[in-house]
Amino acid sequence: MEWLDVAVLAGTFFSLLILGVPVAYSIGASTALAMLLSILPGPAVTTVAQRMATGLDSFTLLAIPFFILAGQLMNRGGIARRLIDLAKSILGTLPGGLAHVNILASMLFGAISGSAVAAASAIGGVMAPVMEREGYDREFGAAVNITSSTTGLIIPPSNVLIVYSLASGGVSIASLFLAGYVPGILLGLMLMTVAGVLALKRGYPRDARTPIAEVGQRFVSALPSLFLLVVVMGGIVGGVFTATEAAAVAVLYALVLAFLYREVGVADLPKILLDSAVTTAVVMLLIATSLGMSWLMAYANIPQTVTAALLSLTDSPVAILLLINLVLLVVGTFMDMTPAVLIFTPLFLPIAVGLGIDPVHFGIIMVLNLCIGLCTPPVGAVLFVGVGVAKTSITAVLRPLLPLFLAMVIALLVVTFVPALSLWLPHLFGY
Amino acid sequence: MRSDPSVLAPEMRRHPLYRTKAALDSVLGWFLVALMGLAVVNVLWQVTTRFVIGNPSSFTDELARYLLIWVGLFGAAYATGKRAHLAIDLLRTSLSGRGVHWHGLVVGLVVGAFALFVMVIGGAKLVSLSFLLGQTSAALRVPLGIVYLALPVSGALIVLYVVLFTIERLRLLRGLPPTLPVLMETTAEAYAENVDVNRDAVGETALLADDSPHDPAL
Repeated sequence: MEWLDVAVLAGTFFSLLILGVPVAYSIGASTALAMLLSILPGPAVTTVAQRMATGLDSFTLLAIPFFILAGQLMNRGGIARRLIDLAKSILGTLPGGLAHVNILASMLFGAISGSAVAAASAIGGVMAPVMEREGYDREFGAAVNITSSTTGLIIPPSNVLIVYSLASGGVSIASLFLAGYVPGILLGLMLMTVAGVLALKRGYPRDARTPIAEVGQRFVSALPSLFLLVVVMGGIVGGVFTATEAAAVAVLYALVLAFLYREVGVADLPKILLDSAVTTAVVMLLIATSLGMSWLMAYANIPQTVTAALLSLTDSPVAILLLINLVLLVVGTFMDMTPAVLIFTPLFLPIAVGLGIDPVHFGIIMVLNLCIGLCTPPVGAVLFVGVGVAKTSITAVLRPLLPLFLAMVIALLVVTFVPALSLWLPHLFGY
Repeated sequence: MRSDPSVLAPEMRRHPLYRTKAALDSVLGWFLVALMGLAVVNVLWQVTTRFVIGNPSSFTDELARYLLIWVGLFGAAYATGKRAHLAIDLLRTSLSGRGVHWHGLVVGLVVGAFALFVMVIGGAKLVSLSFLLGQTSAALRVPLGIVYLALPVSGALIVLYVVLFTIERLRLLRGLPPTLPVLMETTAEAYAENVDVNRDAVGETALLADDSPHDPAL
């Protein structure tokens, strides 16, 4: 293997990234440059172009724009409000009730919209002023909102898991989706525990108990939105739909619901379609260029070299898993989730499989790990949005974030070393 | 008289730069709306033919895949025009005044070079190779060269956006009034207010200097 290729690839990539060239272009340009070293210019640019086009040539990937579109349609109106009302009637009586409400609402909203940033913005936007009015620190509320929004990326349906399925060479999406439930809920519960302890210490208020009839009423009003999850997951797990078909049905369902609630008119549709297309394209260009880079790395035998290097350090599975997690945590702080999953899955998955780890389990470890990076500086999309909607600053929110980070890391370790948490549900359904 | 660099003067909307970009955005925007709409209808049709008619349609799977390639690539060009692609902006935010524009010129050079050499030239070679080999798709019998045509065309559109941005930056460096809202730097507070709720898909946000109030596309 040519060390020069690797040095050029990594050196160019990081230089462009820090320079502020958009991530997708940084990946593409460094791949093309490294390829020029080993083959002639003509074939090099044609190969990168071909990898880009064939990389997107996938029916499965089409699920991503559809889930984005369904999310856009669902976000238009009172769905965040309805989910918060429901969460408040269930968890409001706990110490630091509103923090728990924020976490549960984020979990539900994140699952429905499939987007951590949407959850941070929609739920945080409603919760931040309410929490402040009831005497919570603004920074504490923001920290809870930021960390809990990532649960929606693990609780299905989840676009990142679709990307992982692609990167891993076709791990079953239904299986990955089922595997996400327990770890996602575990993460939520860990965050609630920490938030509860902090709330007791700081003497935050709790709500009066909500009469059971009202809980039921609120559940009914949130039901149409929650039913989307039943349609999508039921369809996929029951083998009725592929993930892409389920996502298209979700678009139709969300559209009908939005029309019924009069939250969307026909005149709004072009704007919604365009917004979804742009969001899709941002992800797709990342996918196209990342696949080019991982193709080049495979061509240069980099995965084998990394495997050999890791195995020469230690052959203890526990140590290797810790090492992989450590690398991913560092990667996650400055890299976005999609390219990180696409570039690092081919590097680490063979090692993990060699150690006897189920590829489904490894996918959950990877996504949960990278979720932590979404909430950390210097690059943390969820952090930025969460700080923005709460009108605070990154430096102010770091202190209250620390105990919550600790909860996330503990959840990561538990999920890493207890495979049953991820694999129990898929096995139950026969995957 | 020197104008305020943070305000778009109404008469600047008649400037050729503004009008070129607005026209480009509008055409590309409506094209994307059509592609997205068609993609949804297409897969719903696949579900319908399988469950209701009981006879799965043969072309929908292929059409869906090709539509995704087109949405991805043409959307990437549109997103470049809106500066919606994710970037680490630590360096840019540490610069001020003219530094921002010099930085923008350098970033544009990298983006333009990638689009020109890989997407336009590499893509054009790929298209001609596909036509030469006479590759056609299995179900629709479309020449694959037509599908791959999205690469050089969207690449050329990206180059065009970069050229427009470069001209505008050079104008701004000479102290001329701004014509493109998308290049007018927004503050962090304005960014937070402009953040679109569902900008991200896979847990990441598109850092965008939103010019939607001026968006003539839709």
